[in-house]
Amino acid sequence: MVLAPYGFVLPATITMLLLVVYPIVYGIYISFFNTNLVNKWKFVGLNYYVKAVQDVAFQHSLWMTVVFTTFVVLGHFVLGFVFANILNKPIRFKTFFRGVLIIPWLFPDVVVAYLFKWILNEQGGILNALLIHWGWISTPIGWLSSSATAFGCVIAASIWKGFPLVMIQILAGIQTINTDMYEAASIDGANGWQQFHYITLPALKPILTTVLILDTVWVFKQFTMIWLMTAGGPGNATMVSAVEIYKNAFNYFKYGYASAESVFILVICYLIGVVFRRLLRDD
Amino acid sequence: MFAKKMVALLLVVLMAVSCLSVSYAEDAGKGYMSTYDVASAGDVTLDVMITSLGDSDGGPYLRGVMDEYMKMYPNVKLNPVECSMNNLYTTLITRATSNTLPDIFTMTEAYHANCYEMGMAVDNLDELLGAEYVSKLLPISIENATINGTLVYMPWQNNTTAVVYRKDLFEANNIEIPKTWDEYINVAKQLTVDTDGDGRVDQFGAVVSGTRNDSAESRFHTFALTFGMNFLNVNEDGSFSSGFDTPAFKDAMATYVELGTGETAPAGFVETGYAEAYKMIAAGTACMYWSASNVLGGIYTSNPEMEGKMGSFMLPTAEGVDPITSFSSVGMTIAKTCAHPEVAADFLKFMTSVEVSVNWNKATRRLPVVTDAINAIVAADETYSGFAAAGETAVIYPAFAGTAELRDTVAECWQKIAAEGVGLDDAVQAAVERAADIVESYQ
Repeated sequence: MVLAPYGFVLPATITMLLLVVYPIVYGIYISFFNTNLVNKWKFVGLNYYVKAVQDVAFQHSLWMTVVFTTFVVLGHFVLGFVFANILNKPIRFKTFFRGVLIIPWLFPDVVVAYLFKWILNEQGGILNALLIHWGWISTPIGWLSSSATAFGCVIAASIWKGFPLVMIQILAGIQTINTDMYEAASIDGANGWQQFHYITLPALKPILTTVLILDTVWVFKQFTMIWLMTAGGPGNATMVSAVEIYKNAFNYFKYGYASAESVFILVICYLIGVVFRRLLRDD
Repeated sequence: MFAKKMVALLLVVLMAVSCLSVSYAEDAGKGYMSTYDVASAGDVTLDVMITSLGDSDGGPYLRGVMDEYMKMYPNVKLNPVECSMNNLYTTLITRATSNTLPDIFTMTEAYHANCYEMGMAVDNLDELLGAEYVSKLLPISIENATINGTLVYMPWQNNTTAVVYRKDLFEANNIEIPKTWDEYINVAKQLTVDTDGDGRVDQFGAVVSGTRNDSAESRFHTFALTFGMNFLNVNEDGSFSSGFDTPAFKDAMATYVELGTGETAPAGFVETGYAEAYKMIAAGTACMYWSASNVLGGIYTSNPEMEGKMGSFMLPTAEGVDPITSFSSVGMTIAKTCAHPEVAADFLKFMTSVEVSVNWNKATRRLPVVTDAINAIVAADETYSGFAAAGETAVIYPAFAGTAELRDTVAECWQKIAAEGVGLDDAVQAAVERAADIVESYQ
């Protein structure tokens, strides 16, 4: 009987150990070796961590990741709030619009990446065709071929892909707020912004905290969209950490070094969670 | 008594000869150099992971070859395992670490050093295939697949690089095959025209890949050879030094960017990969592109009307550089964990017999490394003559673990110039420095 509680948590514990703890610990273990993962295990200590800190390419990719994450998460929340508020209004065809707005999130990353790649293509992309048709430009623009526009395009595509999840979460949160509070605020003379600031935002704080942490960490690790749209290029214009790590691991077979870089990302993602929880904790 | 002994001896000799003849006849009947008694090997199951199994053109044909082999030997079961070329290395490393490598798997010259180091493959592949069989393959392909005297994989697809071009347009415009890159650019200018008179150029002379991936980077690697530039120099003591810090590299980079972004090239240089390039040729938007012969398969699949309109010629060179191109190959190897390596080797010989190789070429337009098959293919279709001629000048790159990184360096360089507006000198200098660091890190 004394052991019964342990028996109940044992399956979950084993699952967590196998699927979460083991890969992380193994990844950290690999980062201390110059290895091919099969028969070469040369211990290098903390060399790869020191190298990563000094590596200009890794530093650049981290900076690009921070910028990318900031803009994408911001975009997700702005669009999420706007559309959640619209969908919360008593408008016609609300169910239809809700269905349409969730579509980007339902598409796999691969589909969205290729969709935007072709929309933005310099040769036959529809965006250039439309802009030329309307007379806004005279020659096609290489949206993904120029470092001036590629990063913005990748950010825009990532915002489009991810905002519905934030929208749905916010919408669910908004719908739990008692409408009496808005009614009372209105009677007290509060305008729309004041109602949003003093009622909506505080009420949504628990949801926002969770969504913000999850979204930030997800976007920070974003790989598929960028890899498929630009592979980190042109030049290094979209070289975020996930792409940099992938290239080191699977193009150059530097598993140890790539693992050390990944440990940095793991620590950063953990810190993001800690910082956001502290900043947004309910006093 | 003596006469009886002589007759008996004669009969024994005759029987032995007739047995050998029967054995040879059976092998000849099979149409390939079988040296192992597969039928008596008992029940055999082999997992075959060849990247071409997933291709729309080669996949069905390859499965047909496997079925044919199983029909010949009902005791053998071949399980096709699909894996794309993009996922090959990650799949191999994953399977190697879990000790679940397929019995036969695709191997490339880019990864065979890793395969050798990790001990993934059998170390007696040459013995399993037999000296006579190996002698029928292009010597350069064997050299390319060998490390420290060990044949790491059996070469199969011959990736000699040559220029594919619109032969019909050359003939219609009385254009000579260009021998130098200056001539190539002039030809490209001649072929860059507005065919429908709407004021916009719709046919470009040449297309060049500018994506940052191995496909485009390996094309530059070959292109650099034609400027007399080697990515790597092998020193007398066996160490390597970078070949980037040379005027030849700068010339090659300048010409490459000019070809990719100049008036003779379609827009979108850094977005143009292999697939985009051959589709432009198929659509009649571009006229010249350098590649391995399989590009013809892509062109014909996209536009069957191009069949008969294409030709090939050797890569032009910079002034003063002799004709040269690169050879590389994709092939198969047998896992060290394979329980029936003799049967696996026998199947590999079957799928690379002359007849199967010729039919494989018809299905995919890939050239094989089997000498007799190449001769048969080139004799039957003049389109491949440029590849055959280029093969005479082909060289292989030294096995160097950092080749992928060096190649990435050149792509980063041309993308900085083309997409970020960085000057040639600055971009080249950055590439020179990065290449030196890479070479140093692998010493």
